[in-house]
Amino acid sequence: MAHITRREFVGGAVALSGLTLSLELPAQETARQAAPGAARPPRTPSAFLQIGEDDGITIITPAVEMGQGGHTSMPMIIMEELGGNWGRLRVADAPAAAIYNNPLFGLQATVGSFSVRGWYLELRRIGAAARIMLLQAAAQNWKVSPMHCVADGSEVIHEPSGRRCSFGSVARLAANLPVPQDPPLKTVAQYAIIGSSPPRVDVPDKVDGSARYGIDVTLPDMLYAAVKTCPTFGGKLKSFDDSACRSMPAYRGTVALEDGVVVVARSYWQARKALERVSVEYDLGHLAGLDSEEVSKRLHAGFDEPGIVARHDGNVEAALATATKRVEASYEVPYLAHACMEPMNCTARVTDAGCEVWCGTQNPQAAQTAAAVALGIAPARVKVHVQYLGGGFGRRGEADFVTQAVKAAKATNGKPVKLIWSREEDIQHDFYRPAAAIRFRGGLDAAGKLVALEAKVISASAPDIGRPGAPPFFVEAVADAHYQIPNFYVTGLNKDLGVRFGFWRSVNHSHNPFMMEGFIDELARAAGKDPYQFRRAMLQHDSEGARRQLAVLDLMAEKADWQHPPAGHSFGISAFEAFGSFIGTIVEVEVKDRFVTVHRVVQAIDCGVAVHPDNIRAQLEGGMAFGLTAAVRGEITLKNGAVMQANFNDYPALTLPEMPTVETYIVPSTAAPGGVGEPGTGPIAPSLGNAIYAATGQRLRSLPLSKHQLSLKTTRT
Amino acid sequence: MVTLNINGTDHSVDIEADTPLLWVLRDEIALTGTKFGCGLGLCGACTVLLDGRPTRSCVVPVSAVSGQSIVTIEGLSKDKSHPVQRAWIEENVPQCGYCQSGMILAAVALLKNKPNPTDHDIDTAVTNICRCGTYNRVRKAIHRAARMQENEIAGSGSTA
Amino acid sequence: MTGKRIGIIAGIIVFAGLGVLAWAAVRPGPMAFAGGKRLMLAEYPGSPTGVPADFAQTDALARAKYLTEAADCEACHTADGGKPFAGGVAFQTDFGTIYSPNITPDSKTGIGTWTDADFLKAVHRGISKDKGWLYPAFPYAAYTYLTDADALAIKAYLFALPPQSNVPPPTKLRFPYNQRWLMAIWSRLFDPNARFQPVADRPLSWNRGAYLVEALGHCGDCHTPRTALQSLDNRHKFAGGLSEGWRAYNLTSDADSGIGGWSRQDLEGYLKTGHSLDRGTAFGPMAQAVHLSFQRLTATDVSAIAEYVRSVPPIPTPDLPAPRLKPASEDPAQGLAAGSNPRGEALFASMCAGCHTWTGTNRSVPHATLTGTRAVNDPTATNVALAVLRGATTLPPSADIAIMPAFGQAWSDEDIAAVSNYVVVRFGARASAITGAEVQQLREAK
Repeated sequence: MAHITRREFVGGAVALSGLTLSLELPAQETARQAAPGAARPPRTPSAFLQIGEDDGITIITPAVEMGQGGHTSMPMIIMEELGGNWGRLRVADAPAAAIYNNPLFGLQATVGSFSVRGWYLELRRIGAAARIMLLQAAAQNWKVSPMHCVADGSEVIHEPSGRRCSFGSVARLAANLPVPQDPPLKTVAQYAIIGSSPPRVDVPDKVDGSARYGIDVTLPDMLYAAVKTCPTFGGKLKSFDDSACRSMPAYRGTVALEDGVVVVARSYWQARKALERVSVEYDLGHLAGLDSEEVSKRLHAGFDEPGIVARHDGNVEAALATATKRVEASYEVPYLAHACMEPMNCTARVTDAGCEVWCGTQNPQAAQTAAAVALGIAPARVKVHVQYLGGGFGRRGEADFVTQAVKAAKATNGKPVKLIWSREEDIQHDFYRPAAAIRFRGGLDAAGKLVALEAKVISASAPDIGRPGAPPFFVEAVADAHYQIPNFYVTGLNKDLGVRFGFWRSVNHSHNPFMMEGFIDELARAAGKDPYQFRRAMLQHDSEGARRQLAVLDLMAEKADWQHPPAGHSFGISAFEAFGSFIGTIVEVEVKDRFVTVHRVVQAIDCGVAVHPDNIRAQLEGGMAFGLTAAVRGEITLKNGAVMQANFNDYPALTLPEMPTVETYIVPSTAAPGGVGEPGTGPIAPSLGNAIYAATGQRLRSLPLSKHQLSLKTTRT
Repeated sequence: MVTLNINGTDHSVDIEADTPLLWVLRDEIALTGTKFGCGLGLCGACTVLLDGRPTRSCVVPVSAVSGQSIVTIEGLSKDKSHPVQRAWIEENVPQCGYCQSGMILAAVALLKNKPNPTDHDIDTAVTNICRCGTYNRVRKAIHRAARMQENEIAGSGSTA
Repeated sequence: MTGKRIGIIAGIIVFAGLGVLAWAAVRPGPMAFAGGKRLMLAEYPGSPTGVPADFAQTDALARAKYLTEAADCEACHTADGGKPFAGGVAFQTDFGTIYSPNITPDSKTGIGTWTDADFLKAVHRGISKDKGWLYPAFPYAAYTYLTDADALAIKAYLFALPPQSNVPPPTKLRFPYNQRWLMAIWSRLFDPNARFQPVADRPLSWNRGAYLVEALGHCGDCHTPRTALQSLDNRHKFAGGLSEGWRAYNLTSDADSGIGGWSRQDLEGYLKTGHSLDRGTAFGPMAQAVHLSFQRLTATDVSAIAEYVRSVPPIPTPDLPAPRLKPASEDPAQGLAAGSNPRGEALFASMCAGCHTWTGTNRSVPHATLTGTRAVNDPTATNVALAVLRGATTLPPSADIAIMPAFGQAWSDEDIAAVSNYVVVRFGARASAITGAEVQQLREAK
């Protein structure tokens, strides 16, 4: 294996200014290093960590920070192997570069609860490689064998003699040494950092206003912009008239987009006022007649159209025909908006040298590409400066706001432009969690065992992931269920209605488990079985998935004391695999006069190695709250092709008094880490629905609760 | 011309009278700790303390606040040492953190009025929206900060 | 049947008919409260009609526009999202829905072929060239007081508008109200078909106010209660009415339930800006009236309206208490409301307190002040519930920054009832008990 050359190991070539980074790596090297797959040497450590002579360790994290702990978990993994002093840690966001592609899926995106999962092995290798290089450098200086040296607390220690030196003192020398090809790694039993819960590195800045989000970026000579776009999807701008703005001293100009206008002014408030004065004419497009009833109709029409087979075990038709009892039901869920607390925004500067973009983004490469395409330049000429995200949830993986900001910046002669969306624009021009529907048919035998299950899943594929002709990925949580059902037939049909859709926290696990675990519950009831036991019975087979899901189910049931709900209270349960982890939730409710009190939520997760347990708990609880909001009152409706909701008055959030008491349990495990950012969101809806059934006999086959005249009641007061 | 007293310092700003205080703070004074979340006073991300009262600055025109003292998140302490800030750090409250400036100021105001708030007091006073779901930790941190403040008052009374 | 009996029966019918006519003949007109001698316009020194002296523009079309705005044709003839004056606004009555016609000068679908005489006939007598007798949803019993010159000026303005091709939905009332010829009887009884006559011993400013209110603004159509025959009950002039579900409150000088406690400046400010400190903010149809009409009038005209309205004698509205003027406690746990309505309190805390504050008095956002407003001092909670349901659909000029959003889409009827009751009991003088079912009816009221 060739040495990595000095030129490629760019320890000295990195310019750090605040949180921005300028990094040059040869293109072939980055591509080679970035491609996922077969065993290869660790990626160049200096792209991931910089050790200054003052011993400061700057870790360049490939995961952005949107509250899920990316700026803490990535450094923890590196530091575990590195032997560095946690107290000297600084964290910087990675620029857009292929070397930061997630090893599991080949893109530099903080999505899919993939960061720890995808980087766990690679970052350990990088940390271990860097440690070895530091040991070797020190050993070289001391003329001793590196085998007798260890690293601890940012020091290299020669054990036989007790000699010590700081990382900083040998960093420069170490940077020029070859990268070890296959560094040995610690075992789980040896972990000192992974599995502990160090304080999150971003928290201190978030309690005094010093944390900088995209919306906070300030640059010299900066202008501000506001935007409005056609209310209907696929609509286009026909014309605009800004003559009423010309008299405003702060007004600078209006830039036309394909579907709207961006107004530029000296301050955001003036831009917003000017925006109101610009009259716009749209060609509303062919979706101008679409409303929510029509959406529902088209989804249901899909039940009778052919779909792609996603699972085909046994013969479901025959099994249903001979089943003792048959149950049929169809379920449906609406579009949902992300509603990140920080509305979409982007700051851009376009000069002859190229383009710079500042924003909170889950996908710096997408931002880079969008800017490049908007300007007709090579992506390499676009620098992306990632900021803290005031909420991502999948919304900030898109780059629509980048395109808009760049187009505005193109018109300002090199002055940077900060484009900020109003909340209304944010809610009405989202990439929505798609509406979805599933029709189920199930068959039970005389003993109440589930012998046949058929599911037809209708949604919008976001996007078509996989090979052409392969099942759409929105059959997840249905087709890959671990239940042992001898005859199991799942088909999926992509019904893209033209409403803009994207990834919403937990994606397909935000809707399919509500429907699947709801129907499983219906089957249990039809069989006269306890819902927990009914599920247990289908997880007795010998597979890792079944075993782990069963363990989660049992842990929850034990902690919630499933057999003994308090008087007047009812339990609901659901569990499944999501994002490489096994998640379950039991909800304890009381229902009175259409008011649902959620007394307690018990969550259990098997996420393999738990890198940062406290953060996992926070993610489970927060993910649950996200799902609970949607279950209780989340609904995006359409009329005349436009979204009817606009702000928190008509897309209300969960409030503090409505937050239930939550208990979270993490199954001890040494398996490879699974995701934790999203799993918490999926189970709350089915568990809540199942609990409400247990309490009232009313089966909810659609969401939100408000559709069924059910509201949430606060628990503590 | 408006004169604003922000975190103890007077600022003279040449700005249109109807500009919301939020945008004056962010764009003219460069204090970006106070956040924009909705523009309608519904989410609380823009909360500041106006003469000690928690106020949603996105709906308050700057012309209405001259003569009053304005405290933003930046003004709570120079070094994250306010009990509420310390409690927030100890309980690892923030996730994305965007709502937390407003949340913290609502908590500060609550504790000034009610040094030992009940859960119901917290329910009615802390109505800021958090999409990350940090509410239980917010509640815990408020109780913690209340105890910290109590101890500090008790501690400061002792002679050693 | 004996002849004698027929005679008696016939006599009773005639007597009853005479009684009705007599009653109709002596029913008071809208200015009867002022008493005094009525003069023909030419006899009165000074001109209370037309455009005021402090309207600067001399251009005839601008002056015609002024009168059109004073009459506020635009409000009733412009549908949501529709072209101005092209009709289609729905008026829901107990008898069915009436849609306003297209009054742009389109020759096919508007009034483009109408002559001056046609226009005057419609405005003064309620007879449309195209439809025959008009329903009194069109306030021609008020517009009848317009001088010919003013009415034709308005016509000239309408004819200068771009013609819009628009056919509003057909007006369909149930039998027998779909028999338009019956409106001839209504018109005979309740439309005096007489031009404005000033009162001799009242100053010009008062008479100008009378002309603005009675002939142009037609305030009584919302603010005066109606008789069973849907005419204005001027014996209770300005004692209050309903408009699109909203309570159009008592404008008499009654101190407790009317505007007797308002100063001249309070009323003028309210008309000019849609808001008066400690009195309230215009919502719904009144906000629209401020936006399209009142805020466009001159200072002297607004002043004249105030002078005239304040001269209306007091008539109490029994269910409206004197407004409570004291702000509520800053502490959510204190006050009348504490503990009595936890759901309403929780909703108020999460969605309302941010702007409206726990005291109800917000000096930083004055138009969000609830203390002292009539709406919260109304134990039916009608207007509070409507404000929560619909929000502020028209932006009054004083509220540049933020407007009251609508919560009707996302909240249940019970929730809206709960928070409305909370607001009324916390900030008002007397508690309300509006129910979810009543809120549901308000949703449908238009």
